Amino acid sequence: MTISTDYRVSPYFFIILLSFLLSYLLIFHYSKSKIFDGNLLSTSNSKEINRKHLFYSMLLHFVLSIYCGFMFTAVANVASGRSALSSVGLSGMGGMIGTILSIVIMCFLFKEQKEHYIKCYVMSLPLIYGVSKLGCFFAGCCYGMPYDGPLAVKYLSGGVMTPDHAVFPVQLVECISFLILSVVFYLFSLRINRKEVSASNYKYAHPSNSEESITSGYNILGIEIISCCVLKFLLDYLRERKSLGLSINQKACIIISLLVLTAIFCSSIFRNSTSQPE
Amino acid sequence: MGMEDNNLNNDFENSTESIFNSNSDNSTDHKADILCAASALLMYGPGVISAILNSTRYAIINFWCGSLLAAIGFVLMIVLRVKYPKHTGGKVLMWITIVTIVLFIIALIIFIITCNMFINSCCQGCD
Repeated sequence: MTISTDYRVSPYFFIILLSFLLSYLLIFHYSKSKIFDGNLLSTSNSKEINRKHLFYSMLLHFVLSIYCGFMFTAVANVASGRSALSSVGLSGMGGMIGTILSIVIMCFLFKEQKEHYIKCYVMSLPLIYGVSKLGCFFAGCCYGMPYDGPLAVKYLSGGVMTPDHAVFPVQLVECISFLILSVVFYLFSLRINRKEVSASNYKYAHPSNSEESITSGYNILGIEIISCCVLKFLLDYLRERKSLGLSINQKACIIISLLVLTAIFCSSIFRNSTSQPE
Repeated sequence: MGMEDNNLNNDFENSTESIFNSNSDNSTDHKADILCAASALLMYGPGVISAILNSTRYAIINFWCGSLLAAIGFVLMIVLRVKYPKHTGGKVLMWITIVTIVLFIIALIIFIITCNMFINSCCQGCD
């Protein structure tokens, strides 16, 4: 497969905007279905998602993801001994950090509906990453290791092969695997919603026997972030590498996973200590 | 006399309630004003200062600090809109920010197209 990167206007930026747009449409649909599905949860005012708040959350998510995406590239440039602005682009890892940061801020801002916001944004993380990898594929960046097998890609820039060998289409593999992950998490969160509805019905009928849901928004977010990190860590081995050690993306994956695991561990200890009878 | 006393008591309670409410409204307005000013300063201050100084010596510091402060200012603006939805300054600031973001995206697209046109026109005679 040969791709010429001599575009009049590079599709990279438009595909990234498209990925955000798609994820916000999905988030909007998900929040709408939660409000109007006619179940017991939707009758409670505290569980409804305010449309204005949803818009603010999208604005926050968009700006922080783009900001952290640019900043991560700048930090990676500095870490590899170059000038901060020697290469400009959006880093997927940075975008992920921005998304996590925005979700944390949303949890503080929308305390009553924080679990809904977490669940709404659960699908957005792998979806944005997966779709935006198509931008990398067509722009000819973030390519894979040297490879001559089926589906090998050759990038042509001004009639010259850049790089000078065929490469593995790791961007396509990343796109497909993260889209699958996005679908899995969407189905998972829908399943949890149904469970929550039946649990709240049960709680309504038997208030004395009620139990808290084990699959809280925090746990889903934690599981999702760790899954994304593991997938990204493994797929990074298929990218072109200049040194044998861990790449900056892989180091970031390890740090984020450890932080999330620590947060889950601390929250479970805190929950156990508060739920124990006096 | 009893009725008059009751009316006087009610009037007194209403007036004290309104005073307390206006005090709390003033204090929340004051907090919202501070938040709005801080947000606007953080978002647009570094850009204005760098434009006035017009110095390339501090370009890197301006890049790191300016972008970080702008991001913090943006978060403060969102906090302001959520906590004080009726604050007019917050509304104005939000729409200015949205217009800035949209203009920035349009400018970036025009910049990319212009760069491509220049590169293509320069490289036409390269062969």
